[in-house]
Amino acid sequence: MIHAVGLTKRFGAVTAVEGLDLEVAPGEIFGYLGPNGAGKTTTVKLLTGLLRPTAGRAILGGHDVQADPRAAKKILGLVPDQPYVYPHLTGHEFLRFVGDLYEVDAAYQKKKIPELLEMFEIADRGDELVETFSHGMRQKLVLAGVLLHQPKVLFLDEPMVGLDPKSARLVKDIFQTLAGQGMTLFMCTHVLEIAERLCHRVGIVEHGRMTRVGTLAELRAQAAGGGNLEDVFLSLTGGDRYKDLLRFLA
Amino acid sequence: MILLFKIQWLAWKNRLLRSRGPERIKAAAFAGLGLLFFGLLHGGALRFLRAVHGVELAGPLLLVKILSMALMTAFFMILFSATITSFTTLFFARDLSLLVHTPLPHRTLFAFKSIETAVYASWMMALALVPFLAAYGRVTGQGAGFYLLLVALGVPFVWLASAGGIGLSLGLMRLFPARRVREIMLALSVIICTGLYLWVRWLAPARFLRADTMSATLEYIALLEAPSSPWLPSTWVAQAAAAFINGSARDALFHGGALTAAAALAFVALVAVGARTYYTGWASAQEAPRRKTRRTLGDEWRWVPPLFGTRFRAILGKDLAVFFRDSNQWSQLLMLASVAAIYLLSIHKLPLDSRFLKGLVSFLNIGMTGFVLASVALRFVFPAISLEGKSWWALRAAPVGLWEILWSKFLGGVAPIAGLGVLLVGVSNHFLGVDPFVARLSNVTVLIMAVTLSGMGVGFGALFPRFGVENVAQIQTSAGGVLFMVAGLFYVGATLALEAVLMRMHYFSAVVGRSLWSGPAVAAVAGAMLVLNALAFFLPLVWGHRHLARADI
Repeated sequence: MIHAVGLTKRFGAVTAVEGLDLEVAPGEIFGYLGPNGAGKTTTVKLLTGLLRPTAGRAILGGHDVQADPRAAKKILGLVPDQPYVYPHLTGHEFLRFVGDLYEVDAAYQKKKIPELLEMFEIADRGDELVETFSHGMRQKLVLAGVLLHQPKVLFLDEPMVGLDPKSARLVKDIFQTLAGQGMTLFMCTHVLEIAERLCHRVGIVEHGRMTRVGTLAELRAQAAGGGNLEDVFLSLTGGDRYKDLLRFLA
Repeated sequence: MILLFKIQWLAWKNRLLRSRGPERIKAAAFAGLGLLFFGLLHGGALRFLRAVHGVELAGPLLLVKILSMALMTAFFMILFSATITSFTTLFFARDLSLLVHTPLPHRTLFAFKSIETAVYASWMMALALVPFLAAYGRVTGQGAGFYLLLVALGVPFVWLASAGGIGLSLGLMRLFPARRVREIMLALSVIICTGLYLWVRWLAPARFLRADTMSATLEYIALLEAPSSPWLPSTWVAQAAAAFINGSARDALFHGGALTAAAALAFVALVAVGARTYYTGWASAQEAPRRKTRRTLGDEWRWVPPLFGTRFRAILGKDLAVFFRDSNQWSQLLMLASVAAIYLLSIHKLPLDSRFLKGLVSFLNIGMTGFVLASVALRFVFPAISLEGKSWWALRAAPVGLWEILWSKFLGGVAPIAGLGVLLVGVSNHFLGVDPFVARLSNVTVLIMAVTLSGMGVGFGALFPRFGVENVAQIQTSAGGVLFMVAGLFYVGATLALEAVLMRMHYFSAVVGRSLWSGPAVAAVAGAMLVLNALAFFLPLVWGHRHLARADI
């Protein structure tokens, strides 16, 4: 469902993403992990057509994101790392706006929007302007917008940031259900516990290159000490040096 | 405090050193334009001040009075500007959420932000005064010492005006809900400025500048008592300057000392008040009012004509909803009403007593209306793409074509611009009593110009988007905004030049009493108009589309 071939992005002399080759199957939850500044958000932007690649191609459901953006965007949903939403729209209006952009049937929207607002526990604030919403509420609103138009491929850039524990649990359950229904999820996250619990496969990116990819068991086998995903991640990304920091703090 | 100024300095230095080729060229072009403008202002001021200086006996006295008037105007403009600016710098600036939570005393933070406000509020006025003051020094034959004195007096003078504005905004923040204050001030500022302009326009001061009434103008200036009030800082500066020119160092020191002492006192008093009240004001400014919005859009944007498809209507409906809810934007409607009122009043007050003059003015009226429409397009249409702001991702990640976005922005802008154009030209033609041909020609031309200027506005806006800015004013005053305005004026000028051919045939036919209309000439004008409008309309849109398609988000 997600197919990247030699995807590369350079900003002047800086290479943010280098030669990404990736294949994610329908119904798969793919976790994309890496340190800050490794190129995770840039990758999501390349795959969703928000950035033009310097080289390579991104194909979603058979549609080239650059050559046929409209067809590709019809089947994708995006939850960006910063949920910027028009501050002068109400929550309800924003969802209606999203629904109309994706040409979701009006009668379906009327029925579904109150349900989504209710599900994310923001129904009582649905008629208030988004400028009064907290970060977490905006995140919920963007997630509701994505669920409204039912994409085939869902890109999630740090989807749990700002969510309270109850909502985070709800969102995790939703992701698993959606994957069960055949939706493909590509998720960038720093929360390794979430990746460990949800993702079928994980890719580790460092300095713009995806250095490792596989199931948790496969990655564990590649890492020196094994253990949970956190240990594997730190071992593979050279995070062992944090031990020195801990010694310093002690 | 030193640390805070150091951070500002580093930010400036980094911006300057890391600016790239195009930015440097842009800066150089603006500096060139600025110098040209300064030169013109200086020349005008020199001519006027020399005339005043030449008045027998009263000349030097009148010069002091004029200096006092200019400084008084500057004082109140800085005060007003500081009131508006301080709402942003003191209460809504992005860096405050970080600075307030550092161990920095609120008193220090307030003092730093107040100085920053004074700089932002006064630099433009101070620069605008330079050509005038330079002319003043030249007319009175002064050397470097005079200008050094002006610089020394300028600092406390600017500070006193700014302190007044900051004090006012502190008081308002104590009395009213924070976010309402900003909206109230925006509306008030437009109403006050328009009212003042209309009042001055009604007085028709231009007649004072005619050569035959120059002496009456000078008498009028001499009679004005208000600018020489001994309690105004502008008077102290003017008196200190006059004393210096007359060689009276003691008087210059006295007035300069009074000014500096008052400024120091104002600083101490303001910081004392700020230390007590600033944090409360800042905290209340962070609380967004939880107001429910009546679903005025009914079925959201279903009321938008169903001609253009769901996505198109969604964007247009969203833009209109946002426009009427954002005080930065709706306050510009007041500006629009002001522009219309000022324009029509100006036409109404024109003394036209001959048929030729009437014809000429009705022809120029088309150009003037075009100029007004270009200015309004700069305010309303040019920012349309940039105003998507950080939510631009939502549109670009959706299956919406860029052309759909551009057309919806165009249609949202063209209707009000065309309406304004027809209103302006219709009412002004009525005042002018133009004949039916001119009325028809101007109506059609204004409609064409409204369409083309709206297309240009959207196109240039897409070519030079600024998604990161917080305030719509920053979009209009950007390099792209200036370029749009220049292109718009060229377009209006070219339209006027083509229509001159038709107007000439029309009026000459009336003068000689037989038709001088030439079919090929009319066809040539029509063809040229078609080409001009097609180019002016489509080129910026195509360029803008191409730029947005390639732009990284």
